[in-house]
Amino acid sequence: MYVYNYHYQDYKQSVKKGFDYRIFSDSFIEFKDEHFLIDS
Amino acid sequence: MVYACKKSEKYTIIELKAYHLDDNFNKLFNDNYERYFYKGGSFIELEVKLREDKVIDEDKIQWGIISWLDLYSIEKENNHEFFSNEYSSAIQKELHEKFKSFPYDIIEKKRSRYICELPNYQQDEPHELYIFAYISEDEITKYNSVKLCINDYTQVIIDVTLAEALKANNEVAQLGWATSYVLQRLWHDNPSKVDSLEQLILKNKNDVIKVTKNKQMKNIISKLVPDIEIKMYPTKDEIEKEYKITLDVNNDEMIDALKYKFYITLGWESFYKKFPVVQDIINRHRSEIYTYNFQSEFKYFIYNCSDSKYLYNKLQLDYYVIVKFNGIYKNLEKNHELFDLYLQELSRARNKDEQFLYMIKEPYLLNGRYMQRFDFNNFYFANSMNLGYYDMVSIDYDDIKTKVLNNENALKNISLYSVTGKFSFYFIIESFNIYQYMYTKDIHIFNMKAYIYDAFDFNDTLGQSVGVWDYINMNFDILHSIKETVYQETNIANALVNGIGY
Repeated sequence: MYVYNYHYQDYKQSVKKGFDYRIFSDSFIEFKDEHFLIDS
Repeated sequence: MVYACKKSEKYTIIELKAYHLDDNFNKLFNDNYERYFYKGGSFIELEVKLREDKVIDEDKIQWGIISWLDLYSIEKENNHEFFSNEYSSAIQKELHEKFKSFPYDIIEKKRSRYICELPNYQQDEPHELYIFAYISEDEITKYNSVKLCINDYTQVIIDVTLAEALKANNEVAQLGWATSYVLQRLWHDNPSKVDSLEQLILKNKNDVIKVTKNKQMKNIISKLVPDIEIKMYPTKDEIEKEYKITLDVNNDEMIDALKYKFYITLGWESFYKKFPVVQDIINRHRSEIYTYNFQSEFKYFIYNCSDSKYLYNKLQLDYYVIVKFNGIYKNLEKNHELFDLYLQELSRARNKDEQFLYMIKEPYLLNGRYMQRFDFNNFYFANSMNLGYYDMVSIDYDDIKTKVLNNENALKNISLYSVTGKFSFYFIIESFNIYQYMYTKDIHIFNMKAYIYDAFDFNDTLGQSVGVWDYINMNFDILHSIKETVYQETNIANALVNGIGY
C-alpha cells in the first residue's frame, strides 16, 4: 500500500515495510426477508 | 509545532518548541497542532522558554537527543507515564546514559531561539528522535522534549489527520479522522516485523491516547473513537485443534490463508453505520448484490450441496447455511467448497469442521470468505463526496472544494475514506426457502449476513493510493486525491491526468 504526500510542491510516494493486517466489522449486518429469482 | 509544558510554582519551567523554518505557515498553527514531520536538510527553530518571571540563563540549559525506541523502552521498563516529563532519578540516569550529543549545527542563537540545520539523511531512512532540553536547579531537573520524525513521510499523513480531526465541525467527521489517526499510529509506531502481541509497542486505543500529546485530540479519541485493539488470528495448531482438520503447510493456497497474523475490528454500530455513504450502500444498492452472476452461482451451489436431492422434492422446507472451515482455511473459493445447506428437519451429525452460520458471531472467523461481494471503490467514494465524473477530471480546484466543503455528508464521508480507502461488503445467505413459479424459483431469504472486510497490505507492490496529503496547508488534498483515484481506476483518465501534468 502506498500513500501520497503533497509536500513542498513534491509528490512523495511513501511506503513502510510493516506487518499486514485485516480490518473486519465487529459484528454482522443482518438483512431480513429479501427475495431474488433464479431460473429452474 | 509541538511543545509541552509543566507548571510548577517553585521551579523553573522549560517550554520547548520546534518550528519549521522552510515553509510559510508554521506559526499560524502553533497552538493547535502537533507536527512531527521534518525533512532532512531543513532548517528548524528550537525555542526554549523559561517561566516568565525567571531570567533565562542559557548556560544552564542542556541538550539531549534520544531515539523513540530507546525512550519508549526506558519508560516502559520503569512503568513511567508517557510524556509526563517528570522523571525519577533512576530514569534520569538511564536517559542520560542513552542521550547522544546534540548532533545538529546551531547556526544561529538569539536569546532562547536556536536555529539548526537538520542533517541531510538519506531520503529512504526515516529517523524518529526526541530532542530534550533540560535544566537543573536546586537538585531538581526539569525536562521537556520535542519529537522529530525526519524523512518519515508517513508522518505527514498522521500530522494532517490530526489537524483534520481538530478542524472537523461535526462529530461523525471527527470520528473518522480520529479513528484513522489511531489506526495509523498503531501501524506506524510499531516494529515492522512482529510475530506476537508482546512485541507490539502500541496495542490498542488507550496506548495511542498515551502517546498523543495534543489534549484536544486525546479528548476526541477518548470520547468518540470505539475500542480498537490489535488481535491475533488463531494459529495453525489452534485451527487444527478447534476444527479437527489437518492443514498442509506445503500447500501454497493454505499458506496464503494463514499468512496474516493480526486483525482489528471496528464497530458496525459505533463506527461504520454512522457514515452517510455506508447507510447509502445498505439501503440503495441491493440490485448490485443479486446480480445475474450471483444468481447463477447460487443455483450451482444449491444443486451441489449435500441436501440437493431434497431441494428437488421439498421446495417449501427451510434451509440453513453451514460454514465448512476445512474450505475456509484451505482458502477454497467456490460456494459449495466453503458452505453447505442443511434442512432444519434433518438432525444428522455434522462434520467437526462445520458450523451453522447463524451460530457464528464474529466476522473475522470467516477469514474473508463470502458468497457475494460489493466493492466500495474509489468512484463510490468520489460520488459520496458530492463529485461526479467531470469533477474527477477537472482542474478547477476552487469548484471542487466548494462542492465538497459545502456538503455536510461529503465532509463526513471523506473522513471515512481516510480510514479505509477502498473496502468491501461481503454477503452470505444464512437461511432461506424456495418457491417454484413456472420456470423460475423464488429464493426467499429469511436472513442474510454481511460484514466489512478491508485489507492493509504494506508489503505488496500494487500501490493502492489512500489519498494525497497537503502538508503545507495541513489538509487532505481533495483535488489530487480524486485525480489519483481516477488515475488508478481508468486508463482513459490515466492519460488525462498525465496530460494535466501534476
